[in-house]
Amino acid sequence: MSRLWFFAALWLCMAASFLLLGRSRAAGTAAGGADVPAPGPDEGFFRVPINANPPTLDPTWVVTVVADGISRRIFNTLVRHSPDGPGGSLVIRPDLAESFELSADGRRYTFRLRPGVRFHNGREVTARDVKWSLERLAFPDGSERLFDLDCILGARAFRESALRWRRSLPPGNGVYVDWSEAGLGIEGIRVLDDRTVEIELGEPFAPFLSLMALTPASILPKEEVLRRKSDFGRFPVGTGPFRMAAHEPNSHILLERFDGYFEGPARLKGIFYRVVRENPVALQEYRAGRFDISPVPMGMLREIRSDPSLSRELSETAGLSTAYLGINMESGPAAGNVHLRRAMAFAIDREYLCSTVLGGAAVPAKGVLPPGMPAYDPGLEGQRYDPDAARRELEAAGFPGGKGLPPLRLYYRADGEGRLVCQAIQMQLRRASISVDLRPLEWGTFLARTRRGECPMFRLAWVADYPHPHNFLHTLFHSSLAGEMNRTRTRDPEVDRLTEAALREAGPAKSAELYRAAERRVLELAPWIVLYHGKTNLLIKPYVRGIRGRITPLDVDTVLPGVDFLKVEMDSVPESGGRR
Amino acid sequence: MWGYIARRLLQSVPVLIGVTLISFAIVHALPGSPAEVLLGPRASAEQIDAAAEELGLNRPLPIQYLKYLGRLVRGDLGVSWSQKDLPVSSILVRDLGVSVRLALGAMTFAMLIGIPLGILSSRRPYGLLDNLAMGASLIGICTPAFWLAMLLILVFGVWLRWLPISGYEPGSLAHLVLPSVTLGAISAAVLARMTRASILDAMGEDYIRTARARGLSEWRTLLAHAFPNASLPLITVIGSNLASLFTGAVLTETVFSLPGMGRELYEAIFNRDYNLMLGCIVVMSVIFVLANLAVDVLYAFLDPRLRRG
Repeated sequence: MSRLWFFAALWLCMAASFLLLGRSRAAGTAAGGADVPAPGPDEGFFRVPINANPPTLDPTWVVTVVADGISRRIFNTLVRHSPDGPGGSLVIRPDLAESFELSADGRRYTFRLRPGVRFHNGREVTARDVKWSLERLAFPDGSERLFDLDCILGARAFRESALRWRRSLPPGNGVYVDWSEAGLGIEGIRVLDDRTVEIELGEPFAPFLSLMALTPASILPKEEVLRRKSDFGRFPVGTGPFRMAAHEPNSHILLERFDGYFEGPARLKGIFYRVVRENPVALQEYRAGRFDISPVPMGMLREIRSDPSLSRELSETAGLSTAYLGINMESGPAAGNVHLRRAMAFAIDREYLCSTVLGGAAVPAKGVLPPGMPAYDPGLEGQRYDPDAARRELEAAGFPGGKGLPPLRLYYRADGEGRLVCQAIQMQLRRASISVDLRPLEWGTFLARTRRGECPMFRLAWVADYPHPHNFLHTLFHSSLAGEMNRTRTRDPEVDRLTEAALREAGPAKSAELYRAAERRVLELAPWIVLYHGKTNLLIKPYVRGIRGRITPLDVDTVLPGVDFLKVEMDSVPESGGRR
Repeated sequence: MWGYIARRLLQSVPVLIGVTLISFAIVHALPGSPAEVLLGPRASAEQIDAAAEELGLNRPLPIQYLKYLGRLVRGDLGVSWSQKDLPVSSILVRDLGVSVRLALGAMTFAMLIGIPLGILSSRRPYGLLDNLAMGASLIGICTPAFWLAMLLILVFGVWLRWLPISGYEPGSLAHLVLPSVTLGAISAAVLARMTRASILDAMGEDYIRTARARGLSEWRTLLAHAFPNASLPLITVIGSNLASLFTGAVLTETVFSLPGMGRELYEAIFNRDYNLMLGCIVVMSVIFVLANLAVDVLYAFLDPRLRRG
């Protein structure tokens, strides 16, 4: 019988330590203040599921959408994108700068800061903060940059001298150092007085203000960055309408209202973000009333549309993205054969991909630029499904009926929607007598191999960083970026000339015309076989006000980086909310 | 006994060094560069090179390994690249708390269900109860954790609303109930089958016939004579299962969004976060070695024959 007692004791030990461990941990962390219970409904907190842990919220290193959206709530930029242009299009509006002007030669921007803006630590924002924050973006630290500031006069020189200076420092502080003490800085960024800063560019750069509206261009308090070092990424201090209240990496983030915000306090008490990896789980939590917003899981859009109560909470917004098949223009069977590329472009039924494969979660693409992007051409003929034309092009390519054409290798990211889409494409191309081998790769490998030009054909999507056609037509097709963001390695003098001319052109109508010409040229060359433009599909509880209808094409996730949360508010939650 | 434990601990040092060597090699053999993943699709070649230099990835592999080992001996697991310079040790301490609780919860559930079920079904082999119990345990073994998790979420989280669906709050027991059941289901099924098989084995022995001949009740024979002798294999199952529950709960931790070790390793692999990956593997190996040691010690404690041998 003693052995039986032994098992009973073992079990009791386990059960007891299971219970006790929880208690001791709770007591330990409560003192640190990092852990908070999830706020319930009716507590005034907007509750958001996030599908990934933000690696850092330090705006300088923001890479992921989630980090971007959360950083946005804590920081401000000089200017911001706001959806109050004609037809809800995005326009630049003042943010920390109360006004800005551009010199006649298009090279000098003068920003005048609002008076009395304070960081969450109480200090007033000055023009010196602007200079330091923008220089930090150019500081060499081996980190990712959403964009670089080489268009600013002297940015490249600063990068080089700062690199030399940094190497001469004793190790230990990493990138949390102050170059201004060593007399270093970007020549083109000048502090004229406490509230005025002038930025001089090497040459005119039309999307410059858009760059200044991106999260990495947020204005930071130098003293907090240097004091907190890498902790600044977990407990950031900014000027935004919300400030960090609690942060448990991989679990949750709690922001609370900053009452000293320069536009007045927000209406929400705060925002509670919780990491939920799986979108289907987030949806169940939403249905159980534990979140106020939810992503629509892949393949569930149709079901939600036909659900009488959920369909009323559905919000579908077109995003600024284009999914495409990229073709390596340097090597592979399609590299030197424009007819083969065109044959594939004609062979793909984009309507079927969007409605059947993706269940209505995307819209078919005709061209490179997504709808909503300036210079988007609604009348563009572009690439379209035409099996007869595909057959003719294949014949012109030297492979009548597909004879003699070796299978083409199609690489894609193994997780996510790429698999479904590529399988459908394989089927469609086979119908056009073009056989395709599918080659799934894991994300890191995929990135490296496509950048090095090792994939003859790949499926990828590009999401705009800012609403300017430069971010598509120059960034992805200019020969100077071949082998970097130009993964197809397109080198075409005509595309180069058109995108460069468009950038120099001050008049928006003329510039748009040039971008449209560049887009037509790209479609003719067909390094891209465009597939579809993504949509942001979200469920938002009916008692949340101020989000629906204000979602911008830049909002690609539940964190909604483009929405101004100052005006978001919540009515009291109805008792029966969502019970089923 | 103490000498035995000390000897076993010493033996585990080369095991752990071997683990670091092999995992270091595997981690570095993975295709795709950490710098590439860290910087994302927008990085230039120049930035990627700079990042690789910064991370020390341009040095020869043996040098990198020796440096790593040197730091490891001093108890320094390095910093995480994907979590922006957070020390790996502090990440793992945080995760381990969650994983240990989850594993204990799962094993508590598994023992509570598995052992009694096994005993009950061995009472009348191939009877109705036995068939039901063994059918249920077969389903338990075959059910994918992901599916079971979604089913439990739907029933207890969405329909009945008795329990939270996902997430982790230190101190809250409710958050661990569904994950523990999901994770413990397979172990419960294995324990049930193991208990039944071992008892049935023992029931054929002479001392059982003796016990019956002495007029003991069938239950008493089962519990006082068959079960004690059948229970040694159970210790092995519980010990090794507990270790794999500590470390192998990736799916459960992902579905329920629990910030535990399994998920940390999974994410670290996708982020090519070498230090974090190696840190996870080292800690998991230590747990495995210790769990095996604990099983052996328990064996020696329970079975005098092994103590002398």
